[in-house]
Amino acid sequence: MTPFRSLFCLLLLLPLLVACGSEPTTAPPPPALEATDSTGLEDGVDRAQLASELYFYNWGDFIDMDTLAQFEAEYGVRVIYDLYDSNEDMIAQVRTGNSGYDIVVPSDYAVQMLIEEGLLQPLELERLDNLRHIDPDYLNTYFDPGNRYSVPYMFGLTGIVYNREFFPEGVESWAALFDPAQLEAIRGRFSMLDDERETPGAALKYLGYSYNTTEPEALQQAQELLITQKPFLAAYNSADVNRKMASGEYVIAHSWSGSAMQARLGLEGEFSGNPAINFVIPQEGGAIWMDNLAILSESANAYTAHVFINFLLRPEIAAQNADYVGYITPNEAAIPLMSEEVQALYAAGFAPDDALLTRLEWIERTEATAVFSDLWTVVKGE
Amino acid sequence: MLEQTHARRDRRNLIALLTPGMLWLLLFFALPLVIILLYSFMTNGPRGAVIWQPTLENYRTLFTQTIYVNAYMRSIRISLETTLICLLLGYPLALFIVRQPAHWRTFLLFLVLIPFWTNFLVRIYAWQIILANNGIINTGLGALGFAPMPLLNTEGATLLGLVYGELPFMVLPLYAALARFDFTLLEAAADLGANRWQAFWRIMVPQTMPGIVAGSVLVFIPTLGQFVVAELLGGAKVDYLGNLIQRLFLRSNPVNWPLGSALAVAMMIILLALIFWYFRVTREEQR
Repeated sequence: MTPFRSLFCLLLLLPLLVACGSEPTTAPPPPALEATDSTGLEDGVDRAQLASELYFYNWGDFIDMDTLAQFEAEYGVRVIYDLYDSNEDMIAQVRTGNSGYDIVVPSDYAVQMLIEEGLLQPLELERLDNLRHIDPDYLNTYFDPGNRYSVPYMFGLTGIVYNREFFPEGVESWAALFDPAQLEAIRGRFSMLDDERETPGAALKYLGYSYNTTEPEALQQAQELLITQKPFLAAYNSADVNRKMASGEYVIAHSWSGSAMQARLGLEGEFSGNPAINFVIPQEGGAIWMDNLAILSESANAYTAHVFINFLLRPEIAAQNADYVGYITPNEAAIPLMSEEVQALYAAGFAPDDALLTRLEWIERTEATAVFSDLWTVVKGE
Repeated sequence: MLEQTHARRDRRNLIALLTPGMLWLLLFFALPLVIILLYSFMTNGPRGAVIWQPTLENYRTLFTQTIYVNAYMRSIRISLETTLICLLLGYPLALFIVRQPAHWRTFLLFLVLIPFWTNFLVRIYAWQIILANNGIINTGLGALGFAPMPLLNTEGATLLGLVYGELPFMVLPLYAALARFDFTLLEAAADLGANRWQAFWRIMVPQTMPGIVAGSVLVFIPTLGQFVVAELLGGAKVDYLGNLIQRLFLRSNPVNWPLGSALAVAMMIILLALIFWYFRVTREEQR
């Protein structure tokens, strides 16, 4: 581009930039539109209404980039993709009111926080006809009753991953990680998640309490249990349990289902899988968590955002992403389209069935649960 | 008259040259520091948002709750250990390099710097591979018929990682100090009846003290705030200051930036005291 032309372009853009700067932080209401059915368009999407760009703020490694390319090819909308690695990071960005993003992927409790702070805009569910593919078990959850602001993207479980060569009888209880009599045999060869809610929560479950209890007596017992466990522990590890289980460095670990799946199947280009790896939700119960698609209040591209979310809810796209990411898709219609290996693992307990669902608990974050930070600092300080 | 114009022009040039750098420092060093300082006196909201309500509560928590006091003591202890070990390893190494012929010296210094060509995180992961239960050392021990030892996820592993990472920062200033040292002084000391130990302790050490202090400060400061090594080689089992601050800012729920800031400010005060001491020592040396 010649200097003259670039200057000319800049002049053309100037009014636009000024307009952006002066725009109030609250987004204008999305343009009123007739229902998709009556538009008479082939796939119900009015191309003329699409923005040219969509800003998508997602967890790292949480989508198959090929699906974004497919979206771009199909609709001509460029997806600008940025990553975060904690809900808290993302919320801190979004709180500024001009993060510049249209779509975020908050976890369960984070959806609740964003709604309470008015940072999400209500969804127009009639635009999301692929929502019918989602298993009703994962709709209408405590953090967003009626899915007014969010739809499920992927979920996972927290339980125990173990090596069948070391535990030929299998593992059924949290006792395998907490009973001092059983710990000597696995000294230095197991890890617990480095997480102030998951790990005290696992101890609470073993003791027969809820993940979300804040009774001082229960917390005291959990704290003592964790301190008893600590000398036997190899590490608190949330980062590479997958790799260390696959290599045999650990024989058992407190783990997310996705990491367990990766330990079993391997990660392409990083490490190979270990067929002896199994995952179980202990009889006392485990945790479930879910990451969800939501549109920010500040977004001026609600129409395009709905089209994009509906695209991600398509069974074949959901299957492709779930195969890639390794977490569980709530999309019932997607499961038969996934790789047979993964389907077999879903059936073998890496994903919940109806009976298992009753043993799972959401980890809630309220003002009262701030006490877990102190508990965790005490455990780490020992 | 002419001189005055010159002086004025010089000053104007100086201001022009300094302004970009000063602005940079103001914007990216002073301002964040002021924000951290302000945060440390604010209240944490229920959802982890900073509330602009001044309080001394964060500092009270720091100095009264044993978990935080212990984290300080633990961090200071392991930083001192790291510094001491680096000094004990680095001094002979620097001395050895200085005593080599010139072309060798350059090459050996180059070797000391080579690790910086690889990202620190990658090198720490490499130590995991060396120390793990099924790692290089334990596999070797097993082949020789010995029982494997727990090496990784111990405080020893943390200390090893810290010393490994910081050693070059000790060697370089020591090398600079030793290169300036006049080795004929040792011969003079010997002529005057000093034994080798006395010559080392009473001539060489005082003469190279600026290098020793500079190296120690350069090692101690980053070690005090380190959190990666404790997490990757120590198994994240024990909190050091850096780990606590990182968790309060990023991971705890709700996050607690005010308390994290107070921890960071208190740490900076410790470091400032140390740097102040360093300047005093070096200035006395120069006199």
